[in-house]
Amino acid sequence: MKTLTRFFTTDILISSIILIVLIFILRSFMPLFMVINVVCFLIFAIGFNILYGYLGLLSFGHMAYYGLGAYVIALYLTYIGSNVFLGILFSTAITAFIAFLLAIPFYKLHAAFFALGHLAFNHILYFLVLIPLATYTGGEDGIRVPLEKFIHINFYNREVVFYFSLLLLLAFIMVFRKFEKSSFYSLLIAMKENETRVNFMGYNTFIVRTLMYVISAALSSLAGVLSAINNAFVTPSFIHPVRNPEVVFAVLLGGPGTVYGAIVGGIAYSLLSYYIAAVIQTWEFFLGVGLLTIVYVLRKGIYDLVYSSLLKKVRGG
Amino acid sequence: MIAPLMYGLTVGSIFYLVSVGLSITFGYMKLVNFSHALFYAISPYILFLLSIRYGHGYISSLVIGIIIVMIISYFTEKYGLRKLYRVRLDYSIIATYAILLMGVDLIKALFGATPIPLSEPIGVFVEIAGVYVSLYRLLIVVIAIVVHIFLILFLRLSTVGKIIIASLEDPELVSSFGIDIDKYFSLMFIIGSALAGLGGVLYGPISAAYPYMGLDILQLCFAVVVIGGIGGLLRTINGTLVSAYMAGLIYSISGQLWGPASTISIFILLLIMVLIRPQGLFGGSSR
Repeated sequence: MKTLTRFFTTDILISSIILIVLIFILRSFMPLFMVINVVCFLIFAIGFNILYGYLGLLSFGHMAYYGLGAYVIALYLTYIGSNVFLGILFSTAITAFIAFLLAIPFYKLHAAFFALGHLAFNHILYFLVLIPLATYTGGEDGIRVPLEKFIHINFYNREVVFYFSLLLLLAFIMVFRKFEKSSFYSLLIAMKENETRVNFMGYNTFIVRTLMYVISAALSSLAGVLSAINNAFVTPSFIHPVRNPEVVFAVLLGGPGTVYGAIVGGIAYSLLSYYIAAVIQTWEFFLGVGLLTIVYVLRKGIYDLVYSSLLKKVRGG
Repeated sequence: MIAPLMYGLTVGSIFYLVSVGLSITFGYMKLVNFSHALFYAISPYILFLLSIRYGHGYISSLVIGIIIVMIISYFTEKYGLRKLYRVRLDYSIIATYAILLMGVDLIKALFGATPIPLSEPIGVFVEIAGVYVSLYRLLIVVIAIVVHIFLILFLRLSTVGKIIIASLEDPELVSSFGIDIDKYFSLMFIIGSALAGLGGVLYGPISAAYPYMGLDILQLCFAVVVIGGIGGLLRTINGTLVSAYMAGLIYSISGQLWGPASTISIFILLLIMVLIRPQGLFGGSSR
């Protein structure tokens, strides 16, 4: 009991309740299908935030991992087995392994080269899916994800997918919120500021960076997997490099560095793109205006703005 | 083999014109400038507007297009990008991407999203080794080379060029002489943008003008810049020239061998380059 209360601290409980309420408010006016996509996007944002927010490494090709997860589960369920849970594990593990292999060469890269190297990687994967592997992946047309009933769980039922992904999302928020209180997180912040010095202090930054990179890739691919199950179909748009800015914007909007920031930004971005695109045709223009505002005025993101102003009020400042 | 070679040289020239500005902002202002794609895309639309809709001559519409690009880039640099020099890279990526999004949307609102075909201004073909080659494409190569020579001479011989080189190498020292380096950064930025505009206006008639044309070529040009590497200013520009023609030839030859491979072969080259030699072919270790 004591460990339980230690794990479920009040701030985690309150934030998860707020999140659940928010998601159910979303459900009341968005189609369920869209809500699940939002939840997947939030998981993706958490995964991206690990690399970008914690370590300050901007990858401009994280869609590669997202799409990799989606394609691997589609292929797994088509050719290997029909157990969805095993498929989720399998595709996440495969992506994590590929990320591990890539983390070693990418370790040398910083800043722009890191971003552009990932962009190139994403382009190559997109190309592979689109043309040379088209016999398996269906090329431009995409591939169906066959979801057979496993015991009594029918993944064609959207409710099942919804609760499953929501549970995962809550679990990740708790884990990462907890993680942000640990001393390991301070190490990451120190690495973000100056990796050479941390290395000099005797920490093996290579292992830390590789570990966080692999976790980030695995979470991103999990988001892709869930989204693929939700859509029951995978198209090349799952891995399209042009979609990379979405998650970068979402995390920036909320404020990189904390899991709450990623969540706030993810929800805000989803709402923005859902509504503005429905109301105004030239929504990209307003997206651009919003982004410029963030960069010039609101550098720390929405979450920090709200949080610090609340803190001021509470303290009576 | 002449036809793909010729096409490679043409594409390489366009790559060069677009990449020069990119390599300067990337190498010296530490800025990944996505709005460069906008400067590339604006000029063909202006060419279309003036020469086809209002019946002006090709040359005059080309010049007006480049002048308009210069004006836009001046204001973009002055009120937008100047605040982002040497701050964190991600902010600059996002801000310039936002500018690109806004610009592309404006183009869509003004001209529509459908590609607008532009015809080649000179319909003359010359025979080289038994193959007919469009004179216009040959002219593009010549223009790129001439631009390169002029750029190098300008930087080497004129006082302004020398100040630009010095202020890019060591901004603090130059500003301590009482020279307003912002003005020279701005000038170099405008030159780079104008060259991108020139690239767009020259390549427009070969393909077509469409709102996303800049974004498509920009990713390839980032590859060109990274492959070329960042050294001293003159070395960077020379390196960009070599890597642009290399990329252009790879683009056309791989496309000749297997259609879909043209774009991806450049990205594969970029990935290999980034992994084995991140400083690029001509990148100096001094910086």
